[in-house]
Amino acid sequence: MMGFDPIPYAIPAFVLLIVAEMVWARATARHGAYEVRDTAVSLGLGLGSVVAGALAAGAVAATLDAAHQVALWRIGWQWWSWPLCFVADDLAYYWLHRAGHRVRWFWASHVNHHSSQHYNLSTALRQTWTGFIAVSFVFRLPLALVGFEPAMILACAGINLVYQFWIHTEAIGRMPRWFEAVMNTPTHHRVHHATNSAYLDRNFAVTFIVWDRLFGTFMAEEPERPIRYGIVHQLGSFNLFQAVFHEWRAMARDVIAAPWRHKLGYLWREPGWSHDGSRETSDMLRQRHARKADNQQSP
Amino acid sequence: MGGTLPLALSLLAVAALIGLARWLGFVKQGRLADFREAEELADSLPGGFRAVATVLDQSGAGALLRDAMGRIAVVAPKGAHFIIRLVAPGWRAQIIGADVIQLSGPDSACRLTIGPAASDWLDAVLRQCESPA
Repeated sequence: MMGFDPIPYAIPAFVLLIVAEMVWARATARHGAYEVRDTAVSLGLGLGSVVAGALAAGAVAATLDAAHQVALWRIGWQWWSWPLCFVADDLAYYWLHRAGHRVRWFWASHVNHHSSQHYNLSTALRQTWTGFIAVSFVFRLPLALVGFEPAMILACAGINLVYQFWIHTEAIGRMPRWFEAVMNTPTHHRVHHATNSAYLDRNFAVTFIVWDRLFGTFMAEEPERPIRYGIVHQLGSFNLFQAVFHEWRAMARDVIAAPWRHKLGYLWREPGWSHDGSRETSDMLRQRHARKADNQQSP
Repeated sequence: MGGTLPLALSLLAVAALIGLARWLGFVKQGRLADFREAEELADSLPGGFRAVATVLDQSGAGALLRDAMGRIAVVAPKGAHFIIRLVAPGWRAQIIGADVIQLSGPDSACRLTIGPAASDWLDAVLRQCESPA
């Protein structure tokens, strides 16, 4: 199965836009917009993810093909199936992304995308090397089972990934209201990358923000709440391999150390969960800060 | 050959972007504005952290904070930003000169110039390094 992969065609544009953003940051004295070691890690992760993706492509395509063999319908290559497939893929991507934040197994693969404390176009390239190990592709199997062509699904997934690039920037404030209502934009996605308690686990959308509005996970950026980027427990170094594997290692350590009846919890519960309550999940963090805000307001 | 040329070009582009970032001066170290910023950062630790004493590095490159239970939080520099860690058994600390304290933990290390209070802070830090887990 040979399909269209838009990512190689987009890479030159990615490079030029990063150059433009760096020049903008320098010209506007935003000296903290980039950090050279952080940028090196982001670009290294991007390059590595392309290699990892190429290595896993055959197995992913074969799995989608196998699912397509037993599909309920044969949708084929009609023109209208493209937009339909794109929207369906975006919905699948929403749930994959949501699982990537709410299930530690998937978080271990996705966390490197969030591990930068900066938010710029190079952050967009911080893609996972371990998505195949995490079997993230299962979220796309329903599309093949419904009858979409596997090559079409992969092309739409590629277009979705390319779309995400431009929303990783502080150079764009807000887009026109109609656009913000439907599409994922820099302001919506900045919220998603925030570590502020109120913003945690919000705005999982990839291309269409409507999924967050529909499933109750939308939050607008609030000017009075400046965003801190990264992850709750920020990485201590700029080591590329630490960025890729740190959560897998931490998860393995927790599973080994946990009592038998709690071992699986460290795989499928949300990041921050612990059997003895010694850590905090995003929900716990949000509740703690809400209580603190209430206490500060009450006389 | 199919994948070699794009990979080589991508490597070249990565090197060029890193070089450009360096040339444009994106190598600045973060600076804490004040105590409050350090205390807000420390409060992101699991369970929160309410500081009863805080000392800033003289250039704002980090901070040490102590809470009512004697726990010590370190706000350590990482590029243009900071990371926050709770001192625990296994950490190491020492004084360099009279007013510099050097700390190192499992995944972070920092050197903070905090003035004559350094030895008092070292005592507090060492108590946490040696306290039972």
